[in-house]
Amino acid sequence: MSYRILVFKGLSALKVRDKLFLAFGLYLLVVISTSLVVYYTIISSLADPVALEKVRIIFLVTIFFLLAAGYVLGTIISRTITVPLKKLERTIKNISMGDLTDKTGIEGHDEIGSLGNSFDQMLERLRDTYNFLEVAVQMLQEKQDLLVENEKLASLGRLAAGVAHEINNPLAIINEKSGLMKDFIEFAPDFPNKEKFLELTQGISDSVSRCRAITHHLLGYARPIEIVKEFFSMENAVNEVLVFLKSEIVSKKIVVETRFDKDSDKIKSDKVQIEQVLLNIIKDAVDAVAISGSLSIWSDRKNDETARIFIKDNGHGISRDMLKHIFEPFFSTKERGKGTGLGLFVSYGIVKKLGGKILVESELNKGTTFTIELPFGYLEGEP
Amino acid sequence: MSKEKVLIVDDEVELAATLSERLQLRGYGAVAAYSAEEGMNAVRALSPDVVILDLNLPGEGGIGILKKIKRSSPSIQVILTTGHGEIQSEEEGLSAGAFSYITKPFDISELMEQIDKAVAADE
Repeated sequence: MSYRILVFKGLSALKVRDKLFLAFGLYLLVVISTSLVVYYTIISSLADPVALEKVRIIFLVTIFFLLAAGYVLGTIISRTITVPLKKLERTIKNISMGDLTDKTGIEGHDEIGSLGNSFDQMLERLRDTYNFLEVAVQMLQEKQDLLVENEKLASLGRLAAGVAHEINNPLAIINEKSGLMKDFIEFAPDFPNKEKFLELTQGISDSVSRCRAITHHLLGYARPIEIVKEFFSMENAVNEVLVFLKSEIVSKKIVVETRFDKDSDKIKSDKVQIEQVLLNIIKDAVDAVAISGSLSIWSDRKNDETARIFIKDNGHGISRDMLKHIFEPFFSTKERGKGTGLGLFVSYGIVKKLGGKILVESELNKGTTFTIELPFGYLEGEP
Repeated sequence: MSKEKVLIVDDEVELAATLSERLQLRGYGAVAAYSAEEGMNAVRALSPDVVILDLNLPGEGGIGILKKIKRSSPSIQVILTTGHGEIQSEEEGLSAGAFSYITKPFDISELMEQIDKAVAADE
């Protein structure tokens, strides 16, 4: 029994092709040896040379046909088994290398063909799943980036509001102390440098006012704003802001172009808050353009849920490095003292609370475009 | 017209003291108290016309004191002072009977206007 095990073991170590060679070799051996045995048996019993010649020819032809049949058989086996197996192996190797675009290409209706077909179908499913996952991962990545950005700004907002809150109390003390000093000076009869002292205490009060504007701005970010949603004309809102900035627009000879689609009236939002956002962004645009610069404000619909308002200027633009920080508190590209660096931070917070978002694109020396995305109102079921 | 009695309740001693001095200079009978307890004692002892009350008072909090004052002597007008950003407390304060609220740091003339309005509302 042990020799059988040995033979099976030896066979299982061989490749399919080698096994076929072995089988073909054995076949040849059997054919040739059987033929030779029969041939010599017949030859030795025949005396007639003509009959002998016939027998020889018949044997040669028979051997030739048997060999040919063997060759055909071998080719058929190779075609139906070895070649498809090779294709399958190549495809699997490619898949394991990460290439999902390949397929076996095995055809036919037999078992092997069916195997190849099933394999190709499986591969197609795999490819679809892979593509789907790729898209899903990309979407998740984008969502995560947005979440990180939101979270960053929210925690910065909390920090800033916390600081502002703590600063407010000592600020109130400074305010009252300098106020009391001013009271004493004012109520006192004339003394040397009285005017000077009044000026000094006034300076303190003015600085307190500046600080107060900042702390109130910051606290406004953290403060849960009361949202009053209503339908209003976006065009009117923009025009009101433009009127507010009229003197700067006129003195810089800025060409303002506005274009609103009828959908812009279907935004249901907080008009006062939106005007605040528009003011912050349009003021920045006005500051960014050169004399005779241009400013375009228009609206369109992004999809059934979302409206967009664009504010585009041809000003100095913002570099990529700076653009990343543009919504952070106290980040300003303006000269020191020209801006608090809170306008866009506050605007970002407002628009987020209103269920929208602000996007920005910019190119140095070409200009900047802000996009405000806001939800339409009628989808909320309360027109 | 007699001097309006104004009680300032704020745990920021410097603020309350300075503010009361400034109000005194302007002719009010101003007194400062630096804690909730002190404030309540002063309310009982002085029965002021107007109380200027810090919303963020430690302990019972401004709202708690406000409710106490309004229960014991409803005629006393209370102006809340806040650090801003506490809209819920502000609204709670108004519904609990506060006359108005004013955000810190405040302008003295604005505060005086509120005091005068509160006194006028009482009369």
